[in-house]
Amino acid sequence: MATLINPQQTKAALQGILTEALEVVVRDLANAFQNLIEANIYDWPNTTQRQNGSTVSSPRNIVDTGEFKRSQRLDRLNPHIFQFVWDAQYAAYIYYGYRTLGGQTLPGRDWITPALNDLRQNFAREVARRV
Amino acid sequence: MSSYLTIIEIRSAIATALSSLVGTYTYSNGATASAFWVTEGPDNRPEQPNVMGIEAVLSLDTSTDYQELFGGEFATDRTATLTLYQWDVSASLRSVERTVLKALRGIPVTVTSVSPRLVRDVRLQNLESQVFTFRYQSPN
Repeated sequence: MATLINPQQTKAALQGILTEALEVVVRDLANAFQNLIEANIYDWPNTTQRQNGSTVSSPRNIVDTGEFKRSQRLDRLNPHIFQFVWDAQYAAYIYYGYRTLGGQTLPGRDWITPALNDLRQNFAREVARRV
Repeated sequence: MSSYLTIIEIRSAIATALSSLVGTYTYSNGATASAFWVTEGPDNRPEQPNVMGIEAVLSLDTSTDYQELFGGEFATDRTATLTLYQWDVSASLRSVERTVLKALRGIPVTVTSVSPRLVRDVRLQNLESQVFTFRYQSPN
């Protein structure tokens, strides 16, 4: 039996598979970031009063008014490059933590790195599903 | 200096590299020291000294990866962060980033990211700060 392989068609098919797999992985990643922002997993040295009057201590999540959570944006820079942005005013302070004038250290809360841990595996799984 | 660094070597190399940059700690008994603090976990200090100028806090072992070498040996890829705090509220860290990057160039570490400068904010009552994340290899 002989099979004719058209290189142009093969290339287009592969590109389609990779793009589709990437889109699924990026969509899942967006959900993973949102879930990590909502998760009560972050050590916190203070008791904080929230805007709604409730208090929160440790472990806590990164949601108060919801402004930061809602500020997550996904930009597609080209077919294969996506960029997540959190443009709430205090996003960088949340991620890196900060120190007060009184000397207290408020630790950074990293909602990004844990979501990236399985990225390669997830992408490979999505590609394999389509091949 | 070898490309592998023990924790003692990296503390010493960074303290030397930043010596002209960092300010001064003054403790309650009057003792003074260079404003350079090293921590290997939560920053729990027995006493918070008064700080003049810039304070550098080196947090070691924020994450660790193992790399297998020939002969069954392992090298350890460690990630650490160096955070600068500007205690002088009339001054800024604006011009410091290049100085730190230059100083770290002489040490076998790879700077992997530099945070934006977290400027003072009235609501947070924070010190201006900036975080440098780097990798280094250690023999164990």
